[in-house]
Amino acid sequence: MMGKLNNIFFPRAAGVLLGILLLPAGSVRGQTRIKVSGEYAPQLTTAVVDFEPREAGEREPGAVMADLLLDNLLLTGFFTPVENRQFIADAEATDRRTGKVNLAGWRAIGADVVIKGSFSIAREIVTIECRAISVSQGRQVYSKGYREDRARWRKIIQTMADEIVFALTGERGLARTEIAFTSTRDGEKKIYTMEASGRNWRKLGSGRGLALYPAWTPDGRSVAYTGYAYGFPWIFLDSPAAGKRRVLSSRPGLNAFPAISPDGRWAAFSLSKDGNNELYKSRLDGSELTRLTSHRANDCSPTWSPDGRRIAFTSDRGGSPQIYLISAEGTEREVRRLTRQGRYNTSPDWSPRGDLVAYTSRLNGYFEICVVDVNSGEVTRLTKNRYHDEDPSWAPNGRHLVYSSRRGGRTSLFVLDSLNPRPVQVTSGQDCYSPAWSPFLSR
Amino acid sequence: MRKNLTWLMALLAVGVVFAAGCASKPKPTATPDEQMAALEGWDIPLDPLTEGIAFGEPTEEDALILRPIYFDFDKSEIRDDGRLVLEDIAAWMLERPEAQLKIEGHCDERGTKEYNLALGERRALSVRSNLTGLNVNPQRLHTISYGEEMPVCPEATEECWSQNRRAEFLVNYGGEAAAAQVAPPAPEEAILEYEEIVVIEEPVELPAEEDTGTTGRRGRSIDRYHQ
Repeated sequence: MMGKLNNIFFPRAAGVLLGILLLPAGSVRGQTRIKVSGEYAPQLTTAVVDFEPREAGEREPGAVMADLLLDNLLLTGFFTPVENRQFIADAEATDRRTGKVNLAGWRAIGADVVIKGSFSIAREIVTIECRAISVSQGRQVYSKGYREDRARWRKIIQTMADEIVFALTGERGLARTEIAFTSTRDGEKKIYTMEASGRNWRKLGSGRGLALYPAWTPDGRSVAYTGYAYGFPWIFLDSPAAGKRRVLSSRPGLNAFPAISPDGRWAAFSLSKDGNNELYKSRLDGSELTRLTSHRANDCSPTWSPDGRRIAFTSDRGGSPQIYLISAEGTEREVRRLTRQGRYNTSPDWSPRGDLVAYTSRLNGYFEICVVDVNSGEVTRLTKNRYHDEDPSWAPNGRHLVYSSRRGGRTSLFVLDSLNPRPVQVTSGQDCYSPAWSPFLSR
Repeated sequence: MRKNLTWLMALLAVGVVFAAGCASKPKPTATPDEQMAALEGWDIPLDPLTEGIAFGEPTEEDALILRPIYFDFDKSEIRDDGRLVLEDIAAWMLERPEAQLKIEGHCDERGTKEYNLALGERRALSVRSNLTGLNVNPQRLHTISYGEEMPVCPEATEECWSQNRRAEFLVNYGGEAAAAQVAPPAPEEAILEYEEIVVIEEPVELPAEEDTGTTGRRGRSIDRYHQ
């Protein structure tokens, strides 16, 4: 049932877009898509026209589709919307009257990109088509349609959003990812998941007690977390689709901060069972428990390197909390301090893309998000405000981050592009904490 | 007598450090913090709880003894005021050999949430190791951390923060009072029945449209883009 979306125009295997030209072919030759690399990040002002019903019928779904598509573009930070909806409606009216895309009109309202779509619903099947026109390049850069079970219309729009992001920037979009986090929405903190754009909250289980610090398995099917359902902090592994909850560790004292290895075979975490907080790892069924650190300091918050060979963690062995590295085989001799600036650096998260570790740093009395290069030790500060930004988690594209920020008395989740850090707010109305970004999800 | 015990533990700890040093490469000299930790007996393993044991608030009278221990910011070392309280608590425990304590470690809101959960456990462990140093059997001491999740004082002032950086005590008096509360499942292998996922926001449903009965619209779709 949970297959890939059916592409009604092209075979499933065809990953490459076939841009269908609206304009004379000559204007297209030699065009390359906008590259996202180094410090460069695009700023594309984008007009998304409400999707048009193909047959006479309600127009409302088309507006919902356009909103969902736009939000998933905005999430990347590469796009800004044409704010005035009347401008969009007027330019679209002109296009309809003349039967073509009037680039000058779209340029006049400031649009770099125009996105149009249509939909029809017959029985339980929805058909959605969408195209994106680059106004500056003067050509259509994306055109695709999907036919699917009606219930999966969101997946179609999310797929289109990701494909448009890729067509325009070469970067993987994030529409088909989720964020796990904790919220006090129902009283004490529980684990929730939502789409990366902040929609469609789901509460994981309804067990007793606090639940803290979610972490995904690399297949995106399970979430590990620290839960107090049985009075003491234990590590649980929930697999909602399989309807299973497993106790990963329930030893005396603290069982906390699970992090699953990139190959999905190991969990690293902190235990205090031997009288002090130390790092351990075990298989996901709790077997093969191996102690990684042996130090009288406070060792916590492990995160795996993408190759699974190293673990970054927080320790106060130097007198204040700092980020350290250790071999995943656990040899104290090889422990290396990673952060050297500041007196309080915690909550590391290792980028899935390379040698960067994001973490929370106290700077001038406020928590800010920083990134440190594992090889050079070079630190880049990503946020600079007085809001207490905490708990960064990398998106699976290794470029974006989600974190919590305390602004105006509420703690909300924000996403930013690490190469062009302008925060995009994804939650509001409820306090949200400890985000963990899922891997890319194919479901 | 207490001094003697401390010296004995110090000697033991030095021995442990020395042995560890021999086993691996030469180790840098222990920092003052490490030495302090060594003195307090950090590596006494925790004991599993007896199944179903319940902890509750101490009686009003006992609450005068089992007072909270307060900590400095970002620290888990017991302050002098805390040492006095712990001596009272140790004496109380020695008079009640059946009693067990649950030591709750808490933090103020100023650290990061993640680190605070570890720090809260350190505070509880620090209390435990101090009580152990005062001859309380470690098997009667159980630690739990709530990090910064359960402040007693909500304001963002030093006055409040200093009250929130604390260790608190719950007690099981033993004997008849050891009533079962929550029977935990068998550890590790237990696969628990999963509660339903709660959908909080139903995704927007597309309204039904009249079934036009058209099929094979594929050709039309492509035509549209070629017009």
